Amino acid sequence: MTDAHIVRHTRTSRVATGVVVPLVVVLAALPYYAPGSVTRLLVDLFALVVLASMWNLLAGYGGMISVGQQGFLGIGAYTVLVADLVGLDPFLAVPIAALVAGLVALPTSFLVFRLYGGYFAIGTWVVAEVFRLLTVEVGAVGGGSGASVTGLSAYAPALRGAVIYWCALAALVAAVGGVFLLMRSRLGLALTAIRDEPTAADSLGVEVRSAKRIVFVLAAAGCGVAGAIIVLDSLRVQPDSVYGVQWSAFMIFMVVIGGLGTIEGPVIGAIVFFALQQLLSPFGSWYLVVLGAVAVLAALFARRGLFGLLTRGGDVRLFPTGYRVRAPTEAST
Amino acid sequence: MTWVNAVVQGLLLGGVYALYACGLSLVFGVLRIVNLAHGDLTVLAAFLALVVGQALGVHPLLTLLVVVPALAAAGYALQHAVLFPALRGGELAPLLVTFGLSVVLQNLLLEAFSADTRSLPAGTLGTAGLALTDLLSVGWLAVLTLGVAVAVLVGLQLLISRTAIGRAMRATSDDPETAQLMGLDDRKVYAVATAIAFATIAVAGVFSGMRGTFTPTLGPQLLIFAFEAVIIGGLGSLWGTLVGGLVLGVAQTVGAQIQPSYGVLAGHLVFLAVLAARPGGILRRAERR
Amino acid sequence: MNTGLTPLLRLVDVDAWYGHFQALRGIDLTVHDGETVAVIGANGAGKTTLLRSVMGTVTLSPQSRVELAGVELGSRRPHERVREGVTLVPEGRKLFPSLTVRENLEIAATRARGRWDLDSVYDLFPNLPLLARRAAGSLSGGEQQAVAIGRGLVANPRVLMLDEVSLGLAPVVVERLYGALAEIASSGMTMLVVEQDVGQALRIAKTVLCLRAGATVLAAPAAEVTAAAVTAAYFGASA
Repeated sequence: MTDAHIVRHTRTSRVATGVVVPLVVVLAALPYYAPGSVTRLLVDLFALVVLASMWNLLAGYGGMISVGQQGFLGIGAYTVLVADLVGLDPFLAVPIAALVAGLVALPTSFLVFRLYGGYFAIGTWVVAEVFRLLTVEVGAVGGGSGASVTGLSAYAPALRGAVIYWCALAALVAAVGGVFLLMRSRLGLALTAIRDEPTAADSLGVEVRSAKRIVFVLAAAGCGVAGAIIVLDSLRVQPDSVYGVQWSAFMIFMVVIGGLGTIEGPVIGAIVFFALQQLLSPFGSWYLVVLGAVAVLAALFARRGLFGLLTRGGDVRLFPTGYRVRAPTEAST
Repeated sequence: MTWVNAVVQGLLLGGVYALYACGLSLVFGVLRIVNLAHGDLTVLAAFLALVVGQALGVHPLLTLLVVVPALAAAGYALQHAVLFPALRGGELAPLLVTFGLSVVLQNLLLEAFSADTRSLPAGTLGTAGLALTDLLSVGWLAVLTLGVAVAVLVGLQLLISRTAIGRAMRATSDDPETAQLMGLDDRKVYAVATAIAFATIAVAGVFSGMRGTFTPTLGPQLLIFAFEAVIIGGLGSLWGTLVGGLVLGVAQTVGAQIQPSYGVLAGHLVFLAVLAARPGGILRRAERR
Repeated sequence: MNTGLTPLLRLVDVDAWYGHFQALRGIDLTVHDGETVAVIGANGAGKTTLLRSVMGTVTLSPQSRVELAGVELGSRRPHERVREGVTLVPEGRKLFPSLTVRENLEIAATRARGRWDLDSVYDLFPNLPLLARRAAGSLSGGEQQAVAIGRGLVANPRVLMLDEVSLGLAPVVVERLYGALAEIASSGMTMLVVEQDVGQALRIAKTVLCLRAGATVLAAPAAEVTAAAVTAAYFGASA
């Protein structure tokens, strides 16, 4: 035991694995013993976690700041409505929403990838606006006023609530776990290289582009799922709501507050945001003023977010994506 | 004739868009950042003109004497205190800061002025026009706005190409580190550039407030139009910005002529088409990347 | 005439850091008024960092002192140091590519008149007036280097620092540029010259400083330095 060696797990991450797995099991069993009001709240929170993780995947790992993810959220939402209209089970529409949003994102990427930095951000926003404006032109889905999802009335309310909850939980596990696995893959390695050394990675050219494209498509699919869940929960689709740019504001807030470029940050950010939303929403637009101001301050003074503050720059990783060198002495313990 | 009218009105509308866009274009050109609060600042300028006009009982055009210096000072201070520190945080920080600022501004305006639709009372200037034919007439205010847009763009072009501060802006934009080695204070250069950009935002806010209506939540839409004008015309070219504004205006009015709800959509589609076919903007010679 | 005994630029115990990497270790250096000091050394020896420590674009340890004519430059920002009287002609020339040659010169020119202005720079480099309206990015390497030197001069610094003037240029061009530098030196300009081309550096320098791994390994009057001593200092004693 004298050589230094390279490890993935830290002691915290091993503990975390021991906590995360039982936690998911407990959460999965929740509908059997918790009231419906609790699971409904958690559906909202889970959707936010999915959105935050997707935005973090884009910006924190892919280096792409999008202000247009609500476009894919809206597409996911409308996929549920269309599935309902053609008589499909709305729950079946959740994976389809991911597929549709991902498929739309692929050609979109070829357009918006021509823009960089801030212009990429607004470009994605324009695309989301185009989706919204095209959607409101379609009378069959209710035009500008939207429509209700009726197919769920076949389910008993308690069962419906539970299934929506399980969908949301599954989406959360898939989103957070998916980002975690992705960042441990070869693609994750390429993305880290791009983030750390953009100019050097530029020489890889095509590979960088395709890595970013995969991230863009996956993030869109995730936002589509979140949109589908939000609609299943509210049973109503309104274009101005699901395509609203406030979703981007929320995503940015959650990720910046929680900690950009970490798996844990967006989860923490989503919980904080959710709590603030519950506490401050009676204060109307003041609560958004506070959110905006906090985001500005975090971007200026706490670049690593709450997770960065919590870990105080130490080597704490609940979800180990990178490798760490263990010094010989430490390795012998 | 309705189509000719649509094109003429579109060109005049394009004047407003060019005016929106020049501040965005200038800030990007010098600082290499995109100000996501650009639209909200334009709306803020319009509200400021409304308040000043009501308080002093003067025509909106006269409020420019207050609004332009006020916004310029705000720009200088914002750059000095907030954006400059953010610039050191890489590409992400300035975007997050301006986005946060946009959310703050929008909601403060909502709290202060409610969601009601407002406009600046332009008086006879707003109603008088010139009938070119029986079916085609142009409003004086619209013509004046286009004229002001051209004047502002010409002024900016001269400022950047002929003056010492313009030279300093170009040098700092080229290479901020070397600019410091040549004795230029990058912080001051950036602050002056932002102040000038904000002054144009003030002009844009007052003219668009007279020409149409505004609400506290209009900002994002204005940002998108400004952005589209910049990209259609080509990044880094002020003349391109003018052309981009005009193209966007015509696309919207012609689209609206087909069906009223198609107006904004047509503008977006023209933008996407330009992005697909000529990513460098329509004025840029085809470049190989 | 100056006797060359007044210390103008003084570095005392300078440690420079890039993050956790220490690029300079305890550098002491005095440049006297009117003197030309050449800094030589292999790649990565810390030559450029030495100049950066004077300009304030690298992090120094707290005990490090950089003084110009007795004034501690300390926490001053780079553009303020230019005002105090140090100017760097950076490695790779770093002209502003979208500005014309004339504008590149004007941007650095001090309002107060000194020995150097556009006219005297044009006298020194007679081909520049013909290029004055060209975009600096379109010039050849040698022409760009001439503009870069001119841009350093018009600031009328008390100490002119030059980083790798010869880099990437043809020998005949380097010869001409060093001819100009000799002329500048003879006008009484104090210069700190970083150079890989040891022969050229020794031609104009009065004192030679050789760095290796961020530390001074040789400091001697140029006239007394032998080729063997330089080689030994360059590559270490065992070479």
